Amino acid sequence: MVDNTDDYSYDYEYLYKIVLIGDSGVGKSNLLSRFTRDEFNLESRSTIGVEFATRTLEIDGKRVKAQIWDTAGQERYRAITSAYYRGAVGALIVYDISKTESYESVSRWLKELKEHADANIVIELVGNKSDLDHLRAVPTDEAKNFANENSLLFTEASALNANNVDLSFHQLLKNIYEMISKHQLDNDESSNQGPSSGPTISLTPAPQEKKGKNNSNCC
Amino acid sequence: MGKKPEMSQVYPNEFVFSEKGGKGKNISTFLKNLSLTHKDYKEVNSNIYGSLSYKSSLDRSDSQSSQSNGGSGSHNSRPKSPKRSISGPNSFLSGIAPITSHKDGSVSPKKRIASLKYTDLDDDWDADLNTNKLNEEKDQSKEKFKGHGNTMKNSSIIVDSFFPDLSLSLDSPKQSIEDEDFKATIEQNKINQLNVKFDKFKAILTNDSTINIQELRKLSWNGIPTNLRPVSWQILLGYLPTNKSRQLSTLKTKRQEFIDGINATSIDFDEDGTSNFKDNSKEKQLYHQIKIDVKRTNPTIKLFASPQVQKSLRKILYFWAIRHPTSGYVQGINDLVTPFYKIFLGHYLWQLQNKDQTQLFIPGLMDDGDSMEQELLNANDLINLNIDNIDPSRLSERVHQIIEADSYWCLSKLLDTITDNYIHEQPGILKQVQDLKNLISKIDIDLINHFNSESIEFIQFSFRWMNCLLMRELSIDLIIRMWDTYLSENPLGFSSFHIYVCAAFLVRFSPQLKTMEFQDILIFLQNPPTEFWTEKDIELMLSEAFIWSSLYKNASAHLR
Repeated sequence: MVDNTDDYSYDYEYLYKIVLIGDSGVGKSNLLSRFTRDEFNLESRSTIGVEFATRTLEIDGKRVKAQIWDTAGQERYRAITSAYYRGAVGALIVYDISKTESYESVSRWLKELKEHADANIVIELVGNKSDLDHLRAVPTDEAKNFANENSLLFTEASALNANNVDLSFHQLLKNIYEMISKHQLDNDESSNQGPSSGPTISLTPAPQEKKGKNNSNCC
Repeated sequence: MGKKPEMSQVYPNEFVFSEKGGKGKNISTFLKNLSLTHKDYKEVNSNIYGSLSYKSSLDRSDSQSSQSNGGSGSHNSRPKSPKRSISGPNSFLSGIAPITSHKDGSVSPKKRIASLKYTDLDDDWDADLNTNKLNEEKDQSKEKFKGHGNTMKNSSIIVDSFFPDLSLSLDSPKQSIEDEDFKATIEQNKINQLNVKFDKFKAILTNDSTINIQELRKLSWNGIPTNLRPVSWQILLGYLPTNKSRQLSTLKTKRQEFIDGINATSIDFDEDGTSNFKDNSKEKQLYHQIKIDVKRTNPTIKLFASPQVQKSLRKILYFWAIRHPTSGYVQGINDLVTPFYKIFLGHYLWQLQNKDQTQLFIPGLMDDGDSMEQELLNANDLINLNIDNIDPSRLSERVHQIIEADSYWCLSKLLDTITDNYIHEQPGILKQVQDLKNLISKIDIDLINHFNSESIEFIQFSFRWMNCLLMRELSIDLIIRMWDTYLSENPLGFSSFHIYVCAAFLVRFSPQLKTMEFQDILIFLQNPPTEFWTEKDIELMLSEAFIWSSLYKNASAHLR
């Protein structure tokens, strides 16, 4: 059913829920399809509500499965989509480097995450459509600085020519992995969680799929 | 840690998803509660099968019409069918073998799902729900199923399992049909069937000075002939008046209202028209959103890639949005306008090709003074023009405006019936999603249990089904056929009847879904395999939906 068979043929050790947010038309869905299926569709239709895809990859010798929720960019869907923020350990805020407005919205998206997501969520800012350098409206340095100030990861990528797409997802997942490992360690040291311990990012080792380990995934 | 896959869960909005809905009963238990006897649902079943003629096409050779309105009682013996001859393109038979009418007592009157109340704070909001129309709907349901009696042999199948069994009978007859004559007969009968159907619609549309909308509605349930669809839809939606003496003047007024409204926006609606707006104004944002969505509306269909058509869609959507500020433009509404645009444009071409059929025309579309129209009328390729090959730039601005206006008003009428779907927080859709879940828990408790064990939430896959009325899941032509039925069910077709259709859609995939895990289920339902579906599949789904709506509507308990 899904072509990326090798993604499913192994079990995984960690499952991370990621959300993909940003203004309408910046290319969220194509970033996702490039990352999970290596596909790009110029004629893709707008995302309604939320769509879903996964990919499993290796980080530090561990198989990490990214479960990615791609959200509709339009304001009206915010009530629906923000419900998906909870439980997410990572977020990609996407803007279009050729559209100033989409970059100006980034702070609004950040605020959204602050309101609805876990406090420890790892966030990456992604300037998509880097292939449109001749139409660039958002200078790289400006976005980079903004990312630094707000402790966000940053990349520019192009879903169209695949440039930096894998890298941006890897970077995010690796940071999540490290953050969670560290968190886990801290928690182990201070053993019982007193009232002072912050919100725990849930680390979910191979969940329900365990039972289906031996099932073939094709149907 | 490690009991529940936290990551794979979605944390829903509190106000919607908190559900304690009881477990559904097995459908046969449920039937008992409704005091349907075995015989009753035998009959119900035979109606489904019958109406779709899934069995041998041989069955269609019956044209004896017991179509008369009283219905012909529940028992039908198949009349013998002599070979019929084709008498020109307009003769024919519709789905008219004997009717198996619903036994009146078996299903109590339709109970409509109450619309969600929403208090609108916006004075400008002109889209009140037509709750007052509800009553006139009640009596139309009984006659919908025009069953062919021959399919009675299937009727012993219990309701639980009609789906899989129906699909088995999708195949063409098992008997050998090498016989060419036999094939020809089937062909003939098909044509006959279509012609008879056409004549029936024609009669309703032309016989009286006031069109009998109840009759039209009844007939439309089983599909409207392509060329009569545009005018029928306009009537069913309440856009075109049933009183013929008022038709032309009403449309003229409405079309002018649209044109004036568009002019008042002083936007040129060109591709890069955002320069007309103040920076960061709401209107600019709105136009931008519409612009990027129009570009990706039915992108694979040539017609909608045309710059003229895209400009028309921008006008329609923008105008609708500013006239309905409480919802404004919501992604997905762009999909909903396309069936109207497509059939109205097609109707114009049909008018050009059939100048003698004026009594079946949407009025005011042709105009002798239109020089581009004259060119088209004299064009060598006129007879070959259709919606798939027409270059829209060959149509005059006048014609474009009329098609835009008609599409706009019809879209508005449709959206008036589902206003709660697009306002803040989309309560209409959230309720529909919940209703779907409750319904499935009655129909297919195993599927619900499986979804529960995989932590699947209905909102995850069915939100889009409601928001875009399955337009992302089915081709536009199938959607158009589906809307014949929805409009026959107007004003509840697009709201509550749609839920039953979604249920039939979901249950169709139930066997596969039950073998899948969380992510495979979601990925499957995001892209369900419907690319080879035909009208038969749609009609099967509609029939299932009708059965369920008849069975469950009275038992409103399932909706909580």
